[in-house]
Amino acid sequence: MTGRQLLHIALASSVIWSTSLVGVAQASSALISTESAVEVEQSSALKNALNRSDVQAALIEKGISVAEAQARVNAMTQAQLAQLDKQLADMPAGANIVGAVVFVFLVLLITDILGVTDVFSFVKPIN
Amino acid sequence: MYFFSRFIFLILICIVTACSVLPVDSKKHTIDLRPYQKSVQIQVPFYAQRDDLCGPTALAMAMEHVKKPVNFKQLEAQVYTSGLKGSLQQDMLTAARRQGLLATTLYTPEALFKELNNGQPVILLLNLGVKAWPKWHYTVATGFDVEREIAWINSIKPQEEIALQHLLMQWYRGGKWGMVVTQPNHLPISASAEDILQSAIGLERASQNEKALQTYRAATAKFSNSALLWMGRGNTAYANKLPDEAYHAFEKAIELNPKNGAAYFNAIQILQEQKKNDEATLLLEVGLKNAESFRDKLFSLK
Repeated sequence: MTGRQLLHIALASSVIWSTSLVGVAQASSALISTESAVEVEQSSALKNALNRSDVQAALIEKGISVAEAQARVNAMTQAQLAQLDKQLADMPAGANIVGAVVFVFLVLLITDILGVTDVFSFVKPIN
Repeated sequence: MYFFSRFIFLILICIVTACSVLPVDSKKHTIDLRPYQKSVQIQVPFYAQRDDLCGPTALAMAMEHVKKPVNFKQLEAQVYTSGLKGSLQQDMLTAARRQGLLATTLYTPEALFKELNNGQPVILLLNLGVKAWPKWHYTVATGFDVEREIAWINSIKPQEEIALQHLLMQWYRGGKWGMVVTQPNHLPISASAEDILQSAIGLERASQNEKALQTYRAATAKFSNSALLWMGRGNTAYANKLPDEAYHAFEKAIELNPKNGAAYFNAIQILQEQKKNDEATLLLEVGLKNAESFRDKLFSLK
């Protein structure tokens, strides 16, 4: 079992634990939330707990503290979570080949000179 | 000589391929600017953007504009992600909401011009590089001049001038993502009922129920036909200990969508809490008849 998997399990259980606490606290009177009403209407219910802990783990991996990652993710709507989840999955792994770097540097240098891009501050576009 | 000619060839290929993927066709970017003022420049407080903190700085400027005091260190912690050397869009939205502000997204040049025309600065996510090699940058658009075809942005310097075409190209290349920060009772002029619903739910999620109620009140006044906005008003009124306002809002949500099981469920609970048992029973009967998918949940209230 990798560290990442352990982190996932720990986070998932903490989410389940905290939601069950909320359940107890609000048992006497729990209105259906606006977000749930939207989901019912648009039939877009997502796997709540799993999604949140996954995104949270991904943020922690990117250098965010556990507490801050939890605060950020808890404040996100389902729609936001889905977008962030997709974005984190699509991120390039960052393969670093010298040739490719030089090639891209030249391309960007030229596009900078033409004024199409604005990557290097030392380049003044020709027009 | 061989290498030199190869180098030239390479450069030529670069120019050709680079240009072919860039939206240089000016027709694509033609936007009808006639509905707007000829020139708008909004005074937005400036924060110098250092290192890769353009996310929190852009947000700080937008917040200062709506007179929200900024604690930059806190904002940085809520927005910036060190492992990415940048800030994620969702964190930008969430951070504004955690400060009790309404953060709404926009995705079209028309919406962008509408906001600027209305005196509202817009945070834009730009791609200063190319699609395959992006260089992301958040900036604050502060105005435009139709005749000179320029825009103003608070970026490296305050009120920097940039060719409108150039700015739009960088914005399109970045995915046309824009964000408007306002006080919760002030709805962005370009936002639809669905846009407002999403940002108000964001305020609810950020435990800002008092602010969310202000948004829902303004939103139900502007979009009085949206059952879900009334639903949100009911929930946040209830969270703010205003059961009468909440009940009225749920009633309105039912009126607009008689199959809205969640609205019956919430309204009935308020009636029960207020010991209006006859009314509760009556509404339960109606709910059971109309909202079939909610039968089980409604039965639990018997």
